[in-house]
Order: sequence, then structure tokens, then C-alpha cells
Amino acid sequence: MAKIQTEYTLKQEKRRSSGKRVKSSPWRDAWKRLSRNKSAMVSLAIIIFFVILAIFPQYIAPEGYDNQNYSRAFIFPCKEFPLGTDQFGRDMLSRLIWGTRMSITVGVVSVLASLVLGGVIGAIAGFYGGRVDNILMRIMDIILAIPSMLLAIAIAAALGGSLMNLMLAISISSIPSYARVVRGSVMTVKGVDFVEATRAVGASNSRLIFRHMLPNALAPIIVQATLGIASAIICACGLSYLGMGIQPPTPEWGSMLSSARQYIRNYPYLVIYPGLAIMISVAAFNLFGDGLRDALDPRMKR
Amino acid sequence: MRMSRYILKRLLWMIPVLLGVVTITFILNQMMPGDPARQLVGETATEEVYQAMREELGLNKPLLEQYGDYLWGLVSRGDLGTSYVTKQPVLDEILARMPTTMILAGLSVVFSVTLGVILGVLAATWQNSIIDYFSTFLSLIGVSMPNFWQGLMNIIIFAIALGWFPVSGFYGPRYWVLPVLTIGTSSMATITRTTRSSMLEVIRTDYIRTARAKGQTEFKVIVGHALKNALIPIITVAGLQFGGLLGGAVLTESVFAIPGVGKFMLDAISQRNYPVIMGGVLLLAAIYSVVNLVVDVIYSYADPRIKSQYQVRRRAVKGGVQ
Repeated sequence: MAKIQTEYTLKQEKRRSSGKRVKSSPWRDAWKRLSRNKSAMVSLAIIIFFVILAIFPQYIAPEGYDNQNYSRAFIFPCKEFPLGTDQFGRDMLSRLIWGTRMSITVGVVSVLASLVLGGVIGAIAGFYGGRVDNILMRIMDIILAIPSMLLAIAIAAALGGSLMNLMLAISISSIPSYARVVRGSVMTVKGVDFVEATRAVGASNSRLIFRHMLPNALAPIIVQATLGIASAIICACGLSYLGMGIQPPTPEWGSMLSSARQYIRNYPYLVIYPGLAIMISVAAFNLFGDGLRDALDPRMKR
Repeated sequence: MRMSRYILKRLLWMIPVLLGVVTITFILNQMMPGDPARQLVGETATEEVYQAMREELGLNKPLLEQYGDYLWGLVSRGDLGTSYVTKQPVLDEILARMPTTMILAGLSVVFSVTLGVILGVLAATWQNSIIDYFSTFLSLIGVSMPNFWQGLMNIIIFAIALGWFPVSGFYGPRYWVLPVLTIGTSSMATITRTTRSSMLEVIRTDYIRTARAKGQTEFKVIVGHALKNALIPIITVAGLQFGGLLGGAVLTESVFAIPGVGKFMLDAISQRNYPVIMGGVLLLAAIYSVVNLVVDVIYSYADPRIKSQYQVRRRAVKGGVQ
């Protein structure tokens, strides 16, 4: 590993000494590596596409999400309705596009929430070590002892089904994994010289942690968060499928699947498309997360 | 010696963890909207009937007393309480459904580990070949499919269109195939990825080159030398997947209408059957913790270096300072 590092730094030096003025920062280098990764770029494009759908469904979707019309119920995919219509005669394509908003919102917000909470816990545990670390991580152990899907189900049931509570359930159940990642990366930068230096000039602990250590421990956290959005989307759809998440008629991919379940025998397209939407968006976040990992940590690239 | 002390320490540590689990579940139960007594007697029952039911369920006592009673029953008699709905001991009810869930989870582990390791080894052995791309693609799809949707797709393809397997129920091995496929796929995908990267790391080491140089058959090099050394991360991931399998079983059981612990608990949640929810979460958490412990112990047998960590002190005493 050390060898690769030196090769890498040698290349950097050569580039610098060749006279070309290259502005180089770790983030810029990472972006360069990322932009060369084809699958990461494709998945980034898909993510941007879904985000646009989530922000502007009113301009993109052919119809509103709740236009019921019983005279056109259960129309198989055709020219007029590319993905068919459901039991109430609502256009599936429109509902899927509106549903993007729910899934992307839940994915991003719940990951941000658990990242902040887990991050603070992990940073404090990793920084102070000793007894504080012991107590905080033992509490995390308790939460980890319950399989996360089961915990999310229990929390969602306790809070009642709504968008806010769904996000809360998912973020609480994934706090420990972020706490662990952040703790790990804070512990690795803890011994590095610049931390000693900052301490020597008299920075306060909170400034040291949040201003100096966390930014330098960011790479694994970003990767974990990207992959976390993928699993949050799956978890949210699962809870909505069980009727504990977003309630109909609000379009959400999981609850669309749940109401299509009873028509599976005669109208399988109702079940296929929402699932495909989940799968494609989740796959995009997974692929992009992998790409980020390779780009941010060149030593791990194979 | 150190090993058994380590196991004992971990088992003792499980006690506060499980107490914490009980406490969290108790708090969540109290937060749930709805009233179990009201659900049991119905909306039209008179106030007296309702109060009698509350008293029978012990819901009229102060919360702390309810919590204390539950803990005392649990610690002194191993009593998980009585189901509000059937009036049967919760432990018996859960144990009656446990074999179903364990068959599902166990077969899913076997399925995902076998297929995952084979695919991962093939992908690593022929890196950047068709097989590699295929297995990478398959594992991306596998981790990205929500498992309840995959269950529905399996029903559409294998049960409705092809008619090979039954749509729902749990009456014999023919009924096991689709649920196991459903639960196992995502962990298979994860295990494939881990096996591939772990094997790739090992395959480039010097001792593999040595094994090849001395004329060992390629099969023996890959399975006997490389896989054996690539095993540690694979075991870790397989162990971690078990919790996911238990959680996934909840959704999958509901998709296939399988009468296992997961479905039982979902029903209990909708009926506000507190003792069943508490008992179910507690037992699943206990199983999960034990599995994690077993994984850690298996480690030390897969990797002598880890085992030696437990014996360092004794050897140091015996052999003097090394």
C-alpha cells in the first residue's frame, strides 16, 4: 500500500514540475477520478434525473396524482397511458413521477438527520474516548441489537403513519451505523499532527472536532451516506408497503405496491412498474456510492 | 482459557443489552396510538366492561409498575407475559412459530452463502471476464431490489406465469422455495461482492504465486489456499446479514402469508398486543446477539492470528518474553 502511495505522490510531483499550473486539492483530484468512472457518471445522471422529477412533478407528469376516473380503470399500458392505469383509473406514469418526490425526500432527509445525530454521537465518542466512548457506544449496541427493519417497523407503528414519522423511524434506526463510521474516522485523524497543532494554538474542543477533524474524516462518511440513501429508500417503501408509512392517496412507490398486491394475478403491470422505479433509483445511489468510495480513497481501488 | 472467558464476558454483556431492548420496546408500546383494551372490547362496550378489561390486562396500573412487573416476571420466571388476544403464554406462542422463521432464515443463509461464495470466487478468478461482469451486475440488482417487491415478482413469474411453486402458505418444501429465494437474494449479492474483493486481495499475494509455482492445480490454489485466507471478511458479512434476514423475514412472511414470527408480530402491532411485541422483539434481538457472538468465535478458528490474541498472555508467561 505504501508503494502505491509513493507512486501516486511521485506522479503528482511530476505533474507539478512539468510547468503546467495545476490547481490541485484532494477534492478536485477525487472529482477527476470520479468523472473518469463511467458507471458512477451514469448513476449520477440517473440520480439527477430522479431529483428533477421529485422537484418538478407538476410540470413533468402528464396528470395530477389523484385524477380518478372509473371509466378508464385497469387499462393496460398503451399509447395514451404508457404505464397503464390503476383500479381508480389514475395514470400510473403520473403517480410514479409524483411518487419520486416522497421517496427521494425520505431518502435524503432521513439520512441527513441520522447523519447529524449519529455524527455528533460518534464524533464525541471518538474524540473523548474512555468512559464517554464506552457509554455512548454501549447505548448504540442496544439499538444495534434489534434488526434495523424490525426497529423501524416498531418506531413507525408507535409514531403513526405520516411522512415526518416515517423519516423519523428510518433515521433513528440507522443512527448507530453512522455513529460507528464517524467514530472510526475521528479516531483515525485524532493522532495526526495537524490536530496536535490546532490544539497547541488553543482551539476549543468543539472547534477542533467540527471545524478541523470532521472535514478531514469526511470521505468514508460521504460514502456511507450515499449508500444510506439507497437503503433508506428501500426501508421507506417497505414500511409504506406494510401500511405504516405514507398513507394513500398520496402516491408513494411502496404504498402503490401494497394496493396493487390484490390485482397481481390479472394486472401484474401495476406491481412491476413501482418496483422498477424503486430498483433503478436504489441501484443508482448504490453505484454512485461505490464510485465515490473508489474516487475518495484511491488506495482501495482495484 | 481466554476464549471461554471472552465468551462468558460477551454473554454477560448481553444482559444489559437485552434489558435496554425491553426498555426501548416498552416505551415504544406506550407511544403507540390506540388502546388495546378498547380494541378488545369493541367501540360499543360500556364503560364498566372496558374498565374490567383494563384491569384484567393490568393496564390500569401506573406505567412504572407495569414495567417493573414485566421485568420481574422476565427475570424471576422467564415469563414473557400473556397474549392479550389468545390469553396464551407469549413464549409458547412465539416458540410455536419460531421453527417456520428459523427454517426460512437458515435456508436463506445456506442459499446466500453457497451461491454468493461460488459467484464471488468465479468473478475474482476470472476478473474482468463475462462471468465477472455478470456477477457484478447480478449483485447490484440483488442489493437494489426491495425484498417484498422481489417476492411479488417471484409470485408473478414462478407461481402465476409458470405455475412451478404455490403462491402463498407454508406447508412443505415446495412452499419454501420462493420465500427463501426472496429473503436470500440481497444477502447473496452482498456476500458475492465481499467474496470477490476479498479474493482479489488474496490472489495477488506472494504465497499464492508460490503455490502456483510449485505446480499446485489451479483448483487447489483457489479453493485450498486463496479462499481459505479470504474467509474472514466473508464470515463477518455473512454474520451481519443474519439480522437483515430476520428483519427481511418480517416483510417476506407478510408477502407470502407465512405464519412465522414476523407475521405474528405484525399482527400483534396492529392489535396493540403489547406482550407479544415485547416478547418477539426481545427473542429476535437475543437470537441476533447470539449469532453475532458465534460469528466472532468462528473468526478465531478461521484466523489463527485472532485466536492467538486470546492466548498471548499465557504464552508470554510460559515462554518468557519473546
